[in-house]
Amino acid sequence: MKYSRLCFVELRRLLRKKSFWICVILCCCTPLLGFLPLTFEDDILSNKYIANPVIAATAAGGIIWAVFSLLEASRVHRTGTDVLTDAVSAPALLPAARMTAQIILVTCTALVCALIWMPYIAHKMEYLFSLKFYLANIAVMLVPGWWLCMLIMESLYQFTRKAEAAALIFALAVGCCFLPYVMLNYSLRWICPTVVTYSDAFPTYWPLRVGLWARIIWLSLGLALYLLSLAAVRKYQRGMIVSFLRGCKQVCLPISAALLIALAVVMGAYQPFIDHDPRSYLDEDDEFFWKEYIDQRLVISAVNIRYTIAPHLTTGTVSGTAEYDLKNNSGYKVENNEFSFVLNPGYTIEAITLDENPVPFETLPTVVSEQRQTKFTLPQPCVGHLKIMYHGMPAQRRSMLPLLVMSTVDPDYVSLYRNSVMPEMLNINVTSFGADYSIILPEDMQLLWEYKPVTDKEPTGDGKNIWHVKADSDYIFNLQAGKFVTRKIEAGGVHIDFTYGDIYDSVVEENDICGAVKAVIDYCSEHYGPLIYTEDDTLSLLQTSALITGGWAFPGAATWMENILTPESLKDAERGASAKEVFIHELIHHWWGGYGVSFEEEEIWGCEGMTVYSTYRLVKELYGEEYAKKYYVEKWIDEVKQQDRNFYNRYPAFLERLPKAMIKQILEDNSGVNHYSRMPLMLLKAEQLLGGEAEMDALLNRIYKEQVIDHLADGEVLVDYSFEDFLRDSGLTEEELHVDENFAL
Amino acid sequence: MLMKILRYELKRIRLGRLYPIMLLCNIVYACIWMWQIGLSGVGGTAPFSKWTYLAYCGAMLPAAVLSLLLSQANYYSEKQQKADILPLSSPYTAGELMLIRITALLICFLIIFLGEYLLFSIPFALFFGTAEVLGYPLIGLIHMLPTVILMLALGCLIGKIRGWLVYVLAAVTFITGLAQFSVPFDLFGNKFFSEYPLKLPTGSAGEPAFEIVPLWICSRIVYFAVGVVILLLSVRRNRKPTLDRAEN
Repeated sequence: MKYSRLCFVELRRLLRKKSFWICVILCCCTPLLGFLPLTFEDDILSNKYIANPVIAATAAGGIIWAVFSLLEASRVHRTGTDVLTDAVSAPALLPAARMTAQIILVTCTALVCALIWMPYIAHKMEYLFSLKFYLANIAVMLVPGWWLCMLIMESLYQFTRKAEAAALIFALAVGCCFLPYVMLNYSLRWICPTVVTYSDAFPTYWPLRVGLWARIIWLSLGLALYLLSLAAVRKYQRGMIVSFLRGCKQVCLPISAALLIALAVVMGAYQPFIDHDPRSYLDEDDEFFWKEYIDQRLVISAVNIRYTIAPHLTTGTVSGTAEYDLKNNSGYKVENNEFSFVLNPGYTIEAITLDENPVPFETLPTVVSEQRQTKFTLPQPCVGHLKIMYHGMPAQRRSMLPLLVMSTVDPDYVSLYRNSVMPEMLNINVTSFGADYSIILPEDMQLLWEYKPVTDKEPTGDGKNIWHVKADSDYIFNLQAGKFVTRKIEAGGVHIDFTYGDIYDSVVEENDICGAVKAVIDYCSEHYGPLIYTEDDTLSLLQTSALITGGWAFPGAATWMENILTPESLKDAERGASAKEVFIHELIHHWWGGYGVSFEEEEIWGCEGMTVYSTYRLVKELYGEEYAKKYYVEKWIDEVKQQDRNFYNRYPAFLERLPKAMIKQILEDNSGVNHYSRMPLMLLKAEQLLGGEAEMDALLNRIYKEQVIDHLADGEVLVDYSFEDFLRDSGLTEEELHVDENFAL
Repeated sequence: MLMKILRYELKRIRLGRLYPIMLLCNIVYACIWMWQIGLSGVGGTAPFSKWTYLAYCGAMLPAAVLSLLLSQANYYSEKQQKADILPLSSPYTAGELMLIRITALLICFLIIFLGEYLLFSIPFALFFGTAEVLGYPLIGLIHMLPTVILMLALGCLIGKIRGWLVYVLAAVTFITGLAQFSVPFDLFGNKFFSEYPLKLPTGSAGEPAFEIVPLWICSRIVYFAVGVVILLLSVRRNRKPTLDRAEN
């Protein structure tokens, strides 16, 4: 019987099976698992109503279809009818036809499931719902996941010919997807790709792009496995190995499998989304490329630096041009005419020219912390107009995932970070002269430069604007573009630009967010001192995409997470140290941090601890003592207790016997607890010893005045404030401030 | 004669594809758990403490029980039911044969247990030079064996009703194993031993001394007793003369 005819027969047979319709009904119910409060909880509506249900349906539905596939594959052997079916068609043809029919039916089931849930999800998400985005999730996550589960399960059965063994190995493979290491790795979680988060206000397709890439890799591997399993279909009552060797005589099967595996390997090796830095954690040798040049004299300087950056919103790529006028004002001769710069590893250098003449260059393969080095050789005397042209998709830093996705280009949102914007020269002097930036964006987007709105723009006439920024240095941390709204607030003697996604305008209005900002600024100005590090007496407060977890503080700017302004977050005051308080925390960094009092970072001392303590004090004033004690003090005591009880903290000698990665993890965990729990507890104890909140406020006020206000008034450079300085100023001793699990208010 | 049948059953299991694969899966799972969790120690205790070892046993128990149930399900398949006419012709009752099979499965469990114990003890003996772990198998067996007996007994009971119900029991085992309860009276105790030490006061070594939790011991006794009772009832039900059963 022909393959197409067999497919049709199998299609009809499956449609008449009761078990198939049971599976369809169960699969249509699987998105419910994504709404369980025990499993997923999220304020971002795109996560709550699209990502979570789709991921749950992918995993649960995949398992259901895998079981169905296993039962169907073993049916002919269980019933003993394989003798008859083998007489009708080739032994390998029937499984292939059955799998094709199953794939068609499963795809239809996925569409039906999507249509059933769409009205509910659209109703819940209201104006945030996008049909295109919703269907993209179904197409990228759900459908391939179900296909993959069926392919793998049937392959396992064909190899082992034991339903229990196939089920067990499949269960093990599914279980591995939920291990902590695999959960954090985009490429390893085969049953459903990892979606770190979506964004309501700043829609991003980055997780979908990565998911699609991972899907193609795993589908290739699954299909390859399936084709090899077709070769292993038992013939003439022989065992697996003999049947496989005979089956490989149909060379199309092993060759196709080999090609698919090769495709998967190449795609895995050359994936463009995440840098190929082999380290999975931040290392103290972060500035790896600088080491070679740190003692070199910079003979050549670059002036008239101009960068032109054009994000391509549809493809998610960036084209850029960097132009420098190179001069030799140092008085020294250029001995080494090889120069070097680093750029995001996702970019390809298209050309480097000097006075319009091509210059030889070589991009090195090593990637460290989202940087890749390119070396180029200039003809003597190495002066003239240098132009570097580059293009590509910015790659994320692997060690920061999944918490931070800093660089992404999407139809409605652009975020570029550091070397995703422009190259960074290693041995040409560029820092003294500043740079001019031109960024080309659609006209409905607002550009934010270092988290502050830009106003200088000119239309190009084709629906775009060119934004001009004149920066004092050539180093940029971040640029963003999207649809933002800015509200002006006056608080603590400072003009505040409160900038957020236009989607949340009504939420800001209804919840008096501006009032909350004012309360924080007024409180800290009153208790510690006036806000100093504004620029032109202006502070920019920016809502960032949910892709960037946490918050940042810079001179004249502070950011916070998107989910603070979601209706769910703002309504729920019971959640404790939550997203809203992260916002307060980041604002307070303008008093305790690099742009207020600069702290010396020691083992149990740093700006984070002081900021956490101050956040606790403000939260206590806003929400009451019980609330603050429950969500701050008790949490600190609990974490200190757990840290003290950790075996490797009690016996550090054993730590050295562990693998390096585990040692690093334990030390990082310790650092987090020390700064975010132990130090605030220590400050709380200091408050008690000093005689109460008023005395502590007086001390902090004095520290702020001496360390910041007086230093700036005298034109002095700020020095780091150490733990020793605090002991001196407070009159307390280190022994008095020691805290452990027995600490009590 | 019984020993011959037992050796035959063991040989059958050994030569079948299922058990070696399951043994390998258990070993791989044990390696993953040791790397991810065991080396750090649980509940603020040492990685080679009895708390950590019992947490390890609790984590491995669902996988071991799942493996045994899948093997047991084979005994209730249609093919096996037809083939059982031959052993039923022997002087032994169906109940006795069932007990022999249970014994064979228990021996398989002991092999899994031994493999997991070696995986736990050898790295610690090498890395930390501690010989304390040599005394742990007994406590591990006290933890794991009653649950295994109970689940196998339940498998016997429901397998007699319908063979595929054993697979349902295996699925329930899988889900319960993932659920990770933290009470002493749960079937696997796979989270209890990680969290209970945190509630205890620390001793001079900075961690709580190991103590036998009364509720936990009661749970083991109850599971063991219930399992034995179910097994005996199953044996008693199968006391009818074997030839009559074969004819029926």
